[in-house]
Parts: sequence; C-alpha cells; structure tokens
Amino acid sequence: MPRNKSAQVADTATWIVATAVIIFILVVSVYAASKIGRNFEFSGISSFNEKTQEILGQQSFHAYLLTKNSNGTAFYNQISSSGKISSTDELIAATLFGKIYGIQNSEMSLKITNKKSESLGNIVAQAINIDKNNFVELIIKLKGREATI
Amino acid sequence: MATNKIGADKILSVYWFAILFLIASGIFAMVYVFYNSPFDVRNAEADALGNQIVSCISQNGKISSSWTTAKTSADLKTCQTPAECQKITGEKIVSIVNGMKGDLIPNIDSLVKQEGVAENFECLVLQIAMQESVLQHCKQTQQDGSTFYCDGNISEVKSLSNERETSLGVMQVNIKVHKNIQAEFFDKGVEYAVKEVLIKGYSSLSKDYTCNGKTYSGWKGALRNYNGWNTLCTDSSGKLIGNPNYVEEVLSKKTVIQQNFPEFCSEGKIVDVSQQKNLKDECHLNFNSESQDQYYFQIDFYDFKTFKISESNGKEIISSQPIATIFDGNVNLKSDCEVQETKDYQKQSKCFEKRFYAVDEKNNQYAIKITSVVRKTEKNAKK
Repeated sequence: MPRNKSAQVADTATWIVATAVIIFILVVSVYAASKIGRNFEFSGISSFNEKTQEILGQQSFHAYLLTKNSNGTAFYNQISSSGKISSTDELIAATLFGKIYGIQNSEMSLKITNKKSESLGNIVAQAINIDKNNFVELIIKLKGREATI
Repeated sequence: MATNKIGADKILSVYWFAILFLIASGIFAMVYVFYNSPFDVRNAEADALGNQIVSCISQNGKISSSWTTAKTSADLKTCQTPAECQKITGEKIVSIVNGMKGDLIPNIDSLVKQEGVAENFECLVLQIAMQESVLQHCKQTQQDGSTFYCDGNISEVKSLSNERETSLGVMQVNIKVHKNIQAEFFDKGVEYAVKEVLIKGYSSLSKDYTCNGKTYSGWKGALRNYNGWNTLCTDSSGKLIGNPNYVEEVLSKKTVIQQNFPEFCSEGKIVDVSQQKNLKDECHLNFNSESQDQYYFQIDFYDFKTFKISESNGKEIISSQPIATIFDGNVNLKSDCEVQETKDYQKQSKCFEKRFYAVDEKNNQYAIKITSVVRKTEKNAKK
C-alpha cells in the first residue's frame, strides 16, 4: 500500500508539472503575441523602402542624363557618343547626387558596364543602355542602412 | 480494482478536457491580442502617396516648367519700392491664409462678406497686416531686392517693444503674451496670428469694450480681440494701452487693400484656390476617407544651383528657400512633422519626406522635396 501511494503521488506530481509547463508556455506566447502586435509597422517591410529608393533613384538618374553640360550636350549623348565617362562627368554626378542624398550619407559610383547590378537594401542601382551591349550605371550606397531582403 | 481503474480514467478524461480548454483559450487569446492591435500602415501610406506624386510630376526625370512658373513663390520675387514689396508680402499672406482657411470656420468668406468687414477672409487678414505693419515683415522695406531678407532673424524683424509687449513681424504677434510662437518667421507668424488670435476671438456673442464704450461681435469682435479686450485703458503715465479705435482703423483699410490687391479683393471676389488644389486631380489622388482631412502633401521646388543641405545635431536641414511650393490637404497636419523631428509619437500624424532631382524642358535644374503626411490615428495607433 505505501508503495502504491508513492506511485500515485508521483503520477499526480507529473501532471501538475506538465500543466504548469503548458500554462507557462501559453502565458509567454500570449505576451509575445501582444508585444509583436503592438510594435508592428507596415513600413518595416524592406521591399517597400526599396521601391521608394528605386523610384527616386530612377527619376534622379534619368534627370542627370538629360542635364546638359556647358557645351549644351546632354550627359547621356556625351557618354553614349564617347563610350566613356570623363572625370568631369563623374564629378558633376557626385556633386549632384551628393546634394540629393547627402554627401555624408552616400557613396556614389558612375561607370560603363555590360552587366547590370541589382538594387538591394541600401544599394540603389540604376542603368540605362548606351548601346546594344553596354549600360551607363549609377550605384549609390546609402550609409547607415543595412542591406535587407 | 476494475471499478477504481474506470474512476481514474474518468478523472484523467476531465483533466484532458481541462487542458484542451486551456490550450484553446490560450490560442484564442493569442489571436485576439495580436489582431486586436492596429496594423500601422501610415508610414507606408505616406510613402506611397509621395511615390505617386513623384511619378506624377516627373516623367523619366523631366518635369514641366508649368509646375514652377505658375506657382513661383513670393520668396523669389524681388522688389525695390515699398509698394512693390507690400504687394509681394500681401501675395504671400494670401497664399498662406488661402491654404489654411478651409480648416478654420465653415463658409468663412460668406461670414466676412455678410458683415461687411472685408471682401473675403484673405482680404481681412491683409487689412490687419496693413494696420499692424504696413505689410512689412522686416525692419527695412527690402535688402538686395528681398523683402523677406530678415525671415527668422529676430534682430532684423520689424518689432514694437515696450514693457507690455514685444510684437514681431508682419502680423505683430506679441511674443510676451504668445510665448510659444516664433513670430520672427513669416509663415509661422501669419499662421499663428490667424488661427490662434483672430479665429479664436471670433464669436457671435456681443461684448462691451470699456475703453471706447462700444460693443463688438462677430468679426469686429475678433478684430477687437486681436488688439486686446483690455479693461485698463491708460497706464500710470496716462499713455493709452492698446488702440481703442483698432477695429475702425482696420475696417478703414478695406478700400486701400481693394485698390492694391484687386486680383484678390475686388467686389465679389473669392480667392481662387484651384491652382493649389488641382494637383489632386492631375495626379489622381483620392483623399476620401472615413473622416475628413486625413492627408496633407507639399511639394517644394528648389533651384538646384542654390540648393544647400546643412547638418544640425545629426539631422539634415535644407537651408535654401524653395522657388515654388504646391500643397493640398489638411495644412494643420504639417505641424506634426516638426514634432516628429524631435520625437515620434504614436498618436500623431506620420510624415514622410523624399527628395529627388529633375530638369525641365528649358534645362532648368531642380531639387524637389515632397512631404506627405497621413493622420488616420484612430485606425492605426493603439488606443
């Protein structure tokens, strides 16, 4: 009989502990759900921010290529006819995009390439064909923003 | 023994049901708590609004010069004579008041016209500015052709200072009474004077003014309130406190304002707001929502050659003046953007700013700043 009683106590204790564990897990889950729900902002979705950077980058880059230099030639025509980017073109682009994005907040590169880069997270990449195989490509790396997918 | 086993099984079944109920309740609570929290889409909505405007005004980096020429800001206009400068100052006042009057009192122009104090609300504010400062914001009429050369520089802004008041700017807002306003800034001074002083003094109830024995109500009461309902008429030296004839003097400016601003104040004129409102149609923006005035946007066009950004406390500030500004929606939401710069409160409107570069067909270069604001606090912020 005493052995039987011990077995019964052990059995009950197991269930009590199991119940406590279940309750604990539920309480933690409810608390976590409330925290996650409270802090959820749709703007945190990175694809949305990337879309914005894409639109702004595209408009600004197109505008840069349409801008006429001191000779009255659009940068696009100048780059596509010469097939290269002069240091002056690059300097003007750096000044221009530095003003728009903030020089401290961005790194910029302008190059001719035959392979387009993709915008990703803090990197804004824009490219436009200058001939059949080559593109003039602008890459702006925004500082202080981690790349996210 | 067999009976005991059945009893133990029954107890266990009850226990299992209790556990099942507990887990089901827990899942229900989790789902309820999670989905009961509002899903804050305001930033995303403000962002989307801004993107829509960018795509609307600029096509592949090119904007139409009509955006800037038709809406050139008074800031860029130059003047030499006092009359020319008054004209520019008045146009800027009209532009500010026109943008905010929809949020003040319904049918405000009709109320002003019915009482005969002015042709419309904008003209009433012009009459006050004429009375207060002769439509002059700075100490000098102009400097290098700019009538707003002093804007924000308190030592250069037109002021009246004595022991009772320090009144600043074109609307002569007394900063000894209205302590939280930077009246040295033209826009802020005008907005505050209209919204917090003139409109707050408007009441259909009559009130006696001790210093001239007259009774005022409606807009005349609002004008009296603008100058103050002082009961002490003179100070210890016998000098007048306030202007007992203020209301009558403002009303007497009606003719001169009509002559100087016929495009706004001639007989039967209502200031046309369509120039600022048509962007909504042009860009296919739908501001309809469950409650009114949940959106605001502003487009500032800067001359790229003079466009400058400076840093202050780690924040970027545009230090140049826009050459043209277009706005629409609830202008009151704009103030939330200034608050958001210091601290982001959940229950205030969300602001989104973006900048881009564009050229027009004449190869003029612009930096364009778009500010979009979404309120919708009730649905997006936790109560």
